[in-house]
Amino acid sequence: MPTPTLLRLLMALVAGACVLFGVVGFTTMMQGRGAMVEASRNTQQLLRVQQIQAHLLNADATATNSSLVGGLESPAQRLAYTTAMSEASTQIVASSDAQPADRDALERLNSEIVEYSGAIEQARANNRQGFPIGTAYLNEASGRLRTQAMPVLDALADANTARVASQTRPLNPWPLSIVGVLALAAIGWSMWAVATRFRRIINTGLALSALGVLIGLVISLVAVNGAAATVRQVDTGTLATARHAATARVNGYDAKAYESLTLITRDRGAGNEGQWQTASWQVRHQLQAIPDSPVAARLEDAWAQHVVVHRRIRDLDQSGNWAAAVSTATGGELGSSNQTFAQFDQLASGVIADAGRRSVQTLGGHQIWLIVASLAALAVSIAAAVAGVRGIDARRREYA
Amino acid sequence: MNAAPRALAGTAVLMTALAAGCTTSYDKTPVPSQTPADQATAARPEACSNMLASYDPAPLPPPGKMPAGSTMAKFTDRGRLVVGVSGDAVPMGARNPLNGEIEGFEIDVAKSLAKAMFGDETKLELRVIRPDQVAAAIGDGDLDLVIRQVGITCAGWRAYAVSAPYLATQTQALTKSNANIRSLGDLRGHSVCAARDSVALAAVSDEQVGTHVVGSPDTTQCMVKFQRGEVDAIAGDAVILAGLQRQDPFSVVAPFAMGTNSYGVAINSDRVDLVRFVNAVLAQRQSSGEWTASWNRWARSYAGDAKPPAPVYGRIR
Repeated sequence: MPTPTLLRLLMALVAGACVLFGVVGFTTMMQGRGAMVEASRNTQQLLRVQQIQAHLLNADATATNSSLVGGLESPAQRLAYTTAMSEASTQIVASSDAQPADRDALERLNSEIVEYSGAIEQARANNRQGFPIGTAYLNEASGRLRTQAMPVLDALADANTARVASQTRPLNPWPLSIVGVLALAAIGWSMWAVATRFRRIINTGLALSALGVLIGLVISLVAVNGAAATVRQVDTGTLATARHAATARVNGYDAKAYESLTLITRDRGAGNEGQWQTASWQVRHQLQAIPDSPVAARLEDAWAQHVVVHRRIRDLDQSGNWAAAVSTATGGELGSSNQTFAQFDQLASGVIADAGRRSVQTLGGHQIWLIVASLAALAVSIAAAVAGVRGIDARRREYA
Repeated sequence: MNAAPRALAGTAVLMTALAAGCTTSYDKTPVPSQTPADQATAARPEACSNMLASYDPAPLPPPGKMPAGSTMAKFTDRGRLVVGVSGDAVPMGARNPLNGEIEGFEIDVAKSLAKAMFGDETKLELRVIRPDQVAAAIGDGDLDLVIRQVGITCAGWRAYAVSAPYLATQTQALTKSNANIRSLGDLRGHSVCAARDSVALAAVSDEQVGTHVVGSPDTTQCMVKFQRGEVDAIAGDAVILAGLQRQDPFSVVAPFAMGTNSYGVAINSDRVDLVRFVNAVLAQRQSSGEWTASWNRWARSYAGDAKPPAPVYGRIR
């Protein structure tokens, strides 16, 4: 092959290899950055869905608790119910804006909430008139919330959990590594071919080009591995804490509603108490799964205090002292069920908010490094391409 | 060679812009299907000879001194009688929303039994159950007795033993006050709700009647459907319908009967001594005037005057 033709081919090969490496590196890191943005977005949506769950079960627990005192419902409890329902509606609108894929499910949830709140209002109106049919409305509303609305929320939580999982998979560094090594091989082979034709071993341009690709490869691999480590750390750390604490809180509200329903239906440990025990087991199970041990211990302790009060309520009810059981379940004083539950709820809310914020911050912070690294790798690979082309072009001009 | 770097830089800018503008789209979140509405299937009532006949009553021992080895002695040793009741069926057994107490005609029956057994009517543990839980709760021994509008039927006798009737009530329909339904034939084409496995459900399920029947766990849940306009009428026992009518002034109990239902106390089939004891207490309530006093206190204002049903005995194990 004539030397000028060979040199032109080598220029194209070096430029192509460097640009290909730059594109693959840039794309890989931008993919990583995109996955972090999505993981952060889906995490926020998951926490929003769990907030809706908690607000609705809070509203149900408050409504059933108020029903125990009939027309003597306290204004504070009424306010707590309306606030919880209003918060749930606000979060539904926010969730619908944030994730178009969730819109159909949220629309269905919204219509279920309308049905639920209608039944609760009828239960309340009947209770205030002393009509026992109010209990039937309350049971129907609570049952509907659990059989119709909660499955929709479970589906939303599952879908968003799957989305977070799909975006927190570690980036595959092999395509980048292989392209980098192939680019280095192409530059090395070009250097050998030029050296054999011109009897000079070192070509400064090609040497700089090889150095550039090497630096780009190191930058890219460090950034990709760093992203994988960050995602892993968030997924098993703060994000896991937020997820488990939120699920525990949701089950806590479920248990609180069943505690009141047990006293309303007077079934003394039959169906509703069984449901309470299942929900309480779920709370403990979720709290034990929190990776942050001191946080888990604080929450477990708060729930254990609430369980002690619940057992006292059951003992009072079983021994025939229903009025005292209701008083312990509905009062707000120290040692009452509402007080110990509020303590747990406040602690859990703080943990969820803090862990959620830290997850989003960590993921967001690492995104900047990925952008910087991807641009640096791209710039270095372009510089490598230019250096390589210039190095070979210098020999071509010498030949001419 | 100046053009090449410029082209490469342009490519970089373009790629950055494309990457920044990329958004991920996801599959739609699956929406769970709604739980289907209640559908009623009424089994043809089983036939048997003299289903109202229960075991002969036994002589009543003094309270607190139950025969050794008897079922009642086990309860007195335990210190309480555990009875399944309804929590929302005025005037038979319903939680009073004002004080939380479960009260009514059937609760008085339970108190009489506790008083006869322990000498103290408060030695009683009431547990609210649904109609579909009766057979299992009695069979498993979770409950000693069920006094919860248990209609005496041949199918019931196969699942548990039943006392002599403590109340006989007609099966009627509750309709809207402006519906002008005055006979069974007027229900044709209407949707009617009834408790599953009830005598009323069997009555309105007859093809000749031509109603669209909707089943529900109990008659009170039918009232929720009725008030929502999901059904046009409720078929049930007159005394329960009267209690529901009092809670909804825009309803009326239609002036025709579809049959008669007799309530008995449900007891585990193996506890015949307890059935005999219960029958003796029920007979004593009738003869002492306790039955009438209790009816007048709880049910008369809803369902008018009534007489205790004539007991039928003679069942042989």
